[in-house]
Amino acid sequence: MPRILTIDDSNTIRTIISKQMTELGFEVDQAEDGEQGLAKLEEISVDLILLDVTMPVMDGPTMLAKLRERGDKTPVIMLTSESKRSIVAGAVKLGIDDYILKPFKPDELKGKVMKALKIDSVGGAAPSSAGPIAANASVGGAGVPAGGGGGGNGGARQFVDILVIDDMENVQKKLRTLLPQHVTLNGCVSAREALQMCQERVYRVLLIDLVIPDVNSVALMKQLRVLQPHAVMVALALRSANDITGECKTQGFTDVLFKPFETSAVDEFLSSHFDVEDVLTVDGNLLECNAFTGKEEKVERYFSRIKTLAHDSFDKLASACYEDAILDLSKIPPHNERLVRLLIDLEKESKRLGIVMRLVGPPAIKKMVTCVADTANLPFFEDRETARGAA
Amino acid sequence: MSAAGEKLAAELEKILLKRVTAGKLGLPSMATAGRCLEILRDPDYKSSKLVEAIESEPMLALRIIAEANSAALNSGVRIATLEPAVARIGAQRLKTIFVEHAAEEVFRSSDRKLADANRKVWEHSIAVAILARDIAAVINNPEPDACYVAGLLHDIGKPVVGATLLAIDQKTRQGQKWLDLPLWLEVIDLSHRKVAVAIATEWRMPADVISAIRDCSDYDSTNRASIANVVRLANAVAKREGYATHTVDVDDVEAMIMVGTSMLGADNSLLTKLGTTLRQRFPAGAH
Repeated sequence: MPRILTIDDSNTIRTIISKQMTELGFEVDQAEDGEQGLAKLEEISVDLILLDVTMPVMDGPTMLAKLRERGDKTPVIMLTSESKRSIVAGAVKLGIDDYILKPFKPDELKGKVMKALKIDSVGGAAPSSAGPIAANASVGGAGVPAGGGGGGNGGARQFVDILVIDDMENVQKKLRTLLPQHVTLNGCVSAREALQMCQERVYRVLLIDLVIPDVNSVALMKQLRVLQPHAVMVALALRSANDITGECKTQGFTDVLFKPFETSAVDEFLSSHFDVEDVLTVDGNLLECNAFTGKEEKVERYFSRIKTLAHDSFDKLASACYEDAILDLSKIPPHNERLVRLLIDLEKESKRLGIVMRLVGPPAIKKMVTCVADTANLPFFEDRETARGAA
Repeated sequence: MSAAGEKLAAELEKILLKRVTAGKLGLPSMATAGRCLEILRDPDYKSSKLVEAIESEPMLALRIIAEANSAALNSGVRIATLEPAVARIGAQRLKTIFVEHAAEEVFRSSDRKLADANRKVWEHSIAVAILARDIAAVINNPEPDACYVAGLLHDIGKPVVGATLLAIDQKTRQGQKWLDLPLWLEVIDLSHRKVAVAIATEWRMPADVISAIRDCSDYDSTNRASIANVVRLANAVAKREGYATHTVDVDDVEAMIMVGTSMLGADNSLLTKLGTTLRQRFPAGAH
């Protein structure tokens, strides 16, 4: 169990720190001034020291200098209401690990202590933010901005597919109606809200309106990119004769979605950024390829997705001890070469897993399959019932 | 600080403060920007009056039209004249553009050495401005644009003092070296803040922006999330990332970052990310 020494002339501060650190599962010792602190450290060894600056008898910097003089390199966090550059710089020279300004938030203390002790996360319950601790009467009323310092952000952030940033609330509402239910969406109408939401959640795509009053959308996009380094940045723009797409890409956007929304454009947007198409329906050992509804240039993606999903399904069927699988090709687009390539791959994969693959489909598809030597011998049936009967 | 440096700095301050308040710093763009900012101060300003003022400086006019047609603002129709450009950009962003334009002009010099030194200060100023706006955003400061402007102007006194020193140097020396480099730098260091405050006051910048320019050395713990504190932290982060105008004391910079992070409730890891991505977003020498 890590052991912490808090050195502060304020009994209140020592009590608050002790309580919080004990709740985190640490053992805590206390000292009222630098001299007592040094004496304590003669008797015990600690993992971290929380040190005040201004104290009677011996102040923090003097104690720190003496500690380092005798070769003690215990990590120290300065916890003080002293913010003078010269004093803190002096302490940095003597090797402090971090600094906390009073009054402080429990989250900041927790985050910095964990960091100094090189502990990634805590199993024990840390108290949730309960506002600044009024540790210093003279500045107790000063507002502390949101966000615990020290990187202690407490737990995983919620994942959401899309964030729409547009000052017209209708835009997000309209988009919602055009998206499949399983695609999650948040919306906000100001840059401030957007920044707040991007601090709290993880997004896959950020849709940023190019004309938000008093907001430079490109600058906003760059700020959001820092908060959401993995998100795709898409501009929301009005249709025009100009090359908005080109301009936006130059500015750093990945793509543009034009308003008012057109169903085909939204579908295109979805197929570019989400795997939303249900290209394969699985029911027991029946795998049904669904119809392809996208643009022609996306057909390769469709076949590749079928392949991936079919591999997964074969895996699951093999784990569940199925010996055969039926692949229904009735709705698959008649792309001869792609279809044959797909079937050769699936035949190989099903064989590897010990599964017999039977095909079902209309005569046109059968013709495509049987006229190629590599797939000519695959068992092909007119309907599912016949295929099942052959098992 | 040497006695000679202090004396010279005091003399220079007097001269420059007088010139600033009399509008005689001799920089045309500052006069135009000042006039434009003055017009914008009236909430019922007439855009024709503003356009007229902007037109007096073609480079500024071009910059405004380009901004109106940028991807950030372009809503479909290309703009070729000032009046609709001004309407599209809006007063708030226009203020930032005027300050940016005027400030950039201040950092230009026909003297090669001075231009070189000014370029470093300008790059540092832009880095501080960008970081200040970023930090404002992450700590939810409601005025990221004011933070940007304050960052941009915090060292504006340096090129002004530098240019004045150079002018005096050229007039007075006759084959002899008048000022050695350490004294030159000392004088700039001693007097640039007051000059910058005078310029910002003359441009009627908000009190918070002026306060940020006045003192960059220590945080104000009575107003933790102030613009001044945001700029102080941005200044330190910029220095840590190499956007410094002279050699820095690493411990001193680290102390400023530690205090600022706690003071503003900023997330330290995010701050590091802002700093490390700064060079991608603003490569030194690109401006």
